[in-house]
Amino acid sequence: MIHPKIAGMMRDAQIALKGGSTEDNFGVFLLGLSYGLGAGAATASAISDLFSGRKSDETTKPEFFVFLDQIEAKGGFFVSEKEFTAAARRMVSAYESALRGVGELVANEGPKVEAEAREFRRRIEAAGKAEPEARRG
Amino acid sequence: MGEGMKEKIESLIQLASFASPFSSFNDEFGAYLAGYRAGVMNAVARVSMGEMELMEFVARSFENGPPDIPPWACDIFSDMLRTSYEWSRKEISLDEKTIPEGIELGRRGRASILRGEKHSPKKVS
Repeated sequence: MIHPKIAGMMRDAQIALKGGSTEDNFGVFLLGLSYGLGAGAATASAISDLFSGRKSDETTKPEFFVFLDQIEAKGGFFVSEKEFTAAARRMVSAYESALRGVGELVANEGPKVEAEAREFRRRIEAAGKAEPEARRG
Repeated sequence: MGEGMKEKIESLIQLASFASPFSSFNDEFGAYLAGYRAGVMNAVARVSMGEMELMEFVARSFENGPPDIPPWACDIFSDMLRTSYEWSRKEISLDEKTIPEGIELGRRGRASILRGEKHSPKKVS
């Protein structure tokens, strides 16, 4: 059986995805939060160790996918008002914390850091759109 | 939560730390990275919660500032972040095409979450 902590993370990831959008900062933040939580849940379930260079734990691998299939077959998680409110509080708190954190980073490190970060994001995006040959070059 | 959890948590902390300095609310990808970082750290906190050894490990990980990230991992993290950003954009644009009324619902929903309003129980699919 899937661990309740993993189930909780996937439930929150689904709530965040439902609120995700590219039309405002909070919507984009929720998109990222959803995928970040998913990456964390997957890694904790030992199915996403590729980036660490270790071998996955095959014994727990099917469990995670069986769980996701079951949830999908049910049409999604059932979220009570209490669970939704708790998840929403966590999300707003994370958003406000990120707003403060990013503001502090720029305030402490100066606009140069923000300009470097902007350039880096541009490079990541450009690399994703480049042809494979160009990426290797 | 299984064997080798410290190593997994260490990898997640490195991933979140990698995304951190590139987070920004000045552009869409920056806001996505801020959310991604928050999601990964939320997962780290939840996985370690109640497990004293893991909680101490997480606390120690930040004692000397951000963790070291090997160069090979930076390339992989960069690919992971870009790929998840592109996937999420595709997923959202598909949703917006197939359920246009979802845009307005989502907008109102986000605004109400930020205002801290109560929500009725419902299925999240």
